[in-house]
Amino acid sequence: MPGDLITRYLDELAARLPRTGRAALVAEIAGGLEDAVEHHRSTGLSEVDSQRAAIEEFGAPEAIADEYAPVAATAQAHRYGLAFMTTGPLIGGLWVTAIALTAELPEFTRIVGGLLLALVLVAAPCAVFSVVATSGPLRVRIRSVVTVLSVTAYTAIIVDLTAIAVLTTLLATTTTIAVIPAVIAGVASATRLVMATRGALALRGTRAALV
Amino acid sequence: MRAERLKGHLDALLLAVLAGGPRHGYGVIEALRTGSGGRFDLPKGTIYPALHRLEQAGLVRGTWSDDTGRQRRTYELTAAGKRQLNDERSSWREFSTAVVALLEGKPCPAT
Repeated sequence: MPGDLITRYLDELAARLPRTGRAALVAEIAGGLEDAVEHHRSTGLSEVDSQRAAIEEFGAPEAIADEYAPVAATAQAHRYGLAFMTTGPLIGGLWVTAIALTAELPEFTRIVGGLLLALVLVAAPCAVFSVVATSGPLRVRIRSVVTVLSVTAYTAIIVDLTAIAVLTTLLATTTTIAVIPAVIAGVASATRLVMATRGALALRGTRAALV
Repeated sequence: MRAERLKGHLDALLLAVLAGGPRHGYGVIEALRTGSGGRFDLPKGTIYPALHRLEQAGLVRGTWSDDTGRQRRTYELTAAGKRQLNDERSSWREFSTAVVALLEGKPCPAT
């Protein structure tokens, strides 16, 4: 059956590509293959031979996937970097509001708060760096950017988990806490925790694929 | 010519090919091959990710076009791409002059 060779080639390629931008790239390469097949047909080759020649010229799906991996990684790092840059200040603001509205806090929350703030001071520049590095031509290795952004993702996980744990303890033991703002901040942190966990896993996969 | 040898220069060559006007992915591949007298014959499929990389960097702009009822992606240089191409041209000129001077034992014109 004509068309089978091309379809199989495109399926194999799609299986090797990351999800980001996969459909568009496969569609584009399918168009290119069509052009190539047509070119060979016009030189007198049979349909099957034209397809074979076009596939041969386009190269191994691995080679295309290897070339595309940094492109997908750059898009991913940019997207997650922006997500952390926007959620970070928002969640920080919600917690600060909750703390400001609370009359009295136990001493240990001040220590935990200080430690979390120190972590944020590491994580925030990492996110900013990732966004800046992936805007315009890359001047650093994309694998390094992914590593730096992973620091942000893991830190966000630690910060959110700790904040939620402290909040749960306080809700169980203290009566002075401003419940509504604190719960809002807690929910925001829980949401970001899901995003950060997904991001950390995705970035780990990307990093492994970049060798 | 081996693909690895070409690799570091591919981006500049793609920009140069697009300096002549917008082209489809396949048109870029053909221009690269014919423009080099058939010497630059890369696995054609790898050109597409390379074009996407340039697009991501803001050096080219890709748009889906639907001429003759076929979906094709057309690429053209952006202003940043033109600037980048000029930079690549002058740094290549400098580099190649120095390499020729050393490999062929010709004196290097002082700059």
